[in-house]
Amino acid sequence: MSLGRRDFLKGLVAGSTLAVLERQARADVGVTASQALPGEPPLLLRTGTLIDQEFFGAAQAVLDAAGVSATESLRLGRGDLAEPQKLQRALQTVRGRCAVGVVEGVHSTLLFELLRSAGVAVLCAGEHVADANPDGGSRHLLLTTPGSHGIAAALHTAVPTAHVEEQALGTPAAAPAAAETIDSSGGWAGVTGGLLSRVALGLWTPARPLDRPRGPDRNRREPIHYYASFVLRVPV
Amino acid sequence: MSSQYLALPEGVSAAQFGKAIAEFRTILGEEHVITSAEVLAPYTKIMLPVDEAQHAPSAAILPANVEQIQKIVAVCNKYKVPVWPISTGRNLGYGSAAPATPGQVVLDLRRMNRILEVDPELCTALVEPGVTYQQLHDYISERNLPLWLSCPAPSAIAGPLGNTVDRGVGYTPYGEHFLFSCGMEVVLADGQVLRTGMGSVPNSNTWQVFKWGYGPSLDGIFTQSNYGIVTKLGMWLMPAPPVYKPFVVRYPKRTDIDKIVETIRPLRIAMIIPNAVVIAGVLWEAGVFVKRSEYFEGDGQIDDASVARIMKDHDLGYWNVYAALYGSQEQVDVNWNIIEGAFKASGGEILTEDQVGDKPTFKYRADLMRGDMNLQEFGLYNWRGGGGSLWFAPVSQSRGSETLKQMEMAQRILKKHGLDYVGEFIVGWRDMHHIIDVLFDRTDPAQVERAYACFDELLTEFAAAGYGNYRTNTAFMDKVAETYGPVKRDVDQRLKRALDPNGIIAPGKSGIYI
Repeated sequence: MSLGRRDFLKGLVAGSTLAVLERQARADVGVTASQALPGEPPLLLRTGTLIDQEFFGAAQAVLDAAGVSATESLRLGRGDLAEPQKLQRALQTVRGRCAVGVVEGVHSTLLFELLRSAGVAVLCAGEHVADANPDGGSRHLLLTTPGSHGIAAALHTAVPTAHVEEQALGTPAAAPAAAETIDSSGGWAGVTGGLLSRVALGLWTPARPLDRPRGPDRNRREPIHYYASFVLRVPV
Repeated sequence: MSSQYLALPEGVSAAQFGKAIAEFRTILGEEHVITSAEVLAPYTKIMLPVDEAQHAPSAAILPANVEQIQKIVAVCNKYKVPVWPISTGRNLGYGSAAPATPGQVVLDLRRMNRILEVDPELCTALVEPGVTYQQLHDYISERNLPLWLSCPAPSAIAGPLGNTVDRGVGYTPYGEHFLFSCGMEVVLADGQVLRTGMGSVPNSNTWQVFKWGYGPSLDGIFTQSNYGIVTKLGMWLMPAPPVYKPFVVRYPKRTDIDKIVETIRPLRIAMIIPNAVVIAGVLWEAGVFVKRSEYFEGDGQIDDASVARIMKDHDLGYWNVYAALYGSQEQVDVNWNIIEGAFKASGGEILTEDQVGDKPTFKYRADLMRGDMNLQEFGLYNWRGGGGSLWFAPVSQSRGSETLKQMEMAQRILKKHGLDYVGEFIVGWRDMHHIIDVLFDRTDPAQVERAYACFDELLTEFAAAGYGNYRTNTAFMDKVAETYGPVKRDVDQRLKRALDPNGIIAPGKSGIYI
């Protein structure tokens, strides 16, 4: 992503609609359809976790700021997440779209197995282990791709008590992450939701991935919560 | 990383690899050759205590038929590009879909998903690699065929071909899957297509009914190996019995494993109990629906008091034996009398389906023992959280003293590393597969380090005591191969060099390289 395109996208956050942005951005900087901007705004995949409010609240705030109106949500219950056929049907409803979501970690294995079988692109995926206390410690292992490199550093910057590690796939960006103001009022869940929705919108500027874990090593008291977050692009 | 690819095969330049990719695209079409990091990301997902980069594929390619695979291996030989074949790739606990070494091209066979034949009279099937157990189950149900499957724990999403060639097990009387396979089709590294057993005889109609053919029987060398790409598998299906009677026998103490095995062995060898019995430890049972943190806050191995509370709260034995009877009412009644007497004499609490009701732990096992789909075991990943899982799988004699010794060894080593004994025994005819799920939190670098060290020590100590693993994950394949000694490794390697001189099929699988 060039600086020009990034500036342009930032301008969008101030006002116009995504559709206008997309057309103009493509015209101005030659963005192809396969790059970050999806044809339709991202869909929020809600699964009723304890962190849904913080995660999707922040995600929605980023979408609102980008002028994405009428955000759609897909709600999945535990039964949907535990049964391959229901989960496959749910993925079909997202065809051709980006989706941002978070699930209880116990469901992530089945979900990722089905994503592979469905040829779904995973722009970013996180595993999160956290204290029951929202102000307590947390640990995060983020799998990033070229369009999401560097978000681990942003998470760590916004939540310094978090232990963060990044597994970066693909050629990494050389530049360090730009200093951006990230709303950390929702704790790690909110920061993650906000960052992932930026990735889904193409508003994230890829930066150099973390080369080693950051944050305190031992920062979790029991009981723990275990979640998996993601940004997906489901093929048509 | 200086190339556009996630990884490159060892010794292959980006330019050479690019040429191979271009030829793959000519063979398969653009959409069936995946090189983008985003679409490859799910192929990199591992549960091992090592970095993803150690198992990162360079690409994934998805052929639709044998002819395409023949063309693919020609390209692989030309550019020395290795492929890592997967059928459905659900080898969870043993490495998932990611290759043993970085840079291999995942040869994803999921598009080859035809059920070629199901014979309801001879009770046989012939399937392609991408067929899932769910698909085969649906096929049988829709046609109302009186046949049962035998499936492993990931059931619905796993496939019979992949599970069988990795010598996986299920829980019905047909639970030793390779034993109940009959005939393979294999694409060799030079592109020739071999049909094993009777399949090499032109116009044979006995490929799926007689295993041995003529001369050396070859099927075994294509299991847990990298000597060919299995593209069809014949398998025997179990006739649906008129009566099915699952039951559980509970025992309260850890050391009861001795008398449990002594009780089961004669019943199993005589086939009074015909199925692959499971002796599930309490944490395997409870871990499916309980989080460790609800009972224990320490960082080390869960203590005995917490385990006792789990048993009490959830009405579980320390050991929970799941078995079943199959057959006519008369057969089941006769065998039930024998079994009931034997288990009661050993001090076990024996409960039938009627007595247990709809308890999820029982339903899960009852489903598996009749080959029904049930993914409940995925709940284990929530026991500790964080996505780490390694299956340690030593073989034991079906002898009480041996299982007790293995269990105590494993508990001691796991405790040293602060990890829990989440274990079960799967009872073969004379052997036991002792399965321990080493669960750990991949977000915790210290725990990742401990999990690696623990698994390594388990392998070392068990091998020193004469116990080999029947199967292992992709991070430890070389080490397990070493435990079988230099002559076995040498023969494995000589076979590899003879059948695949360029080493293009799954280098590193089971520790075998050219």
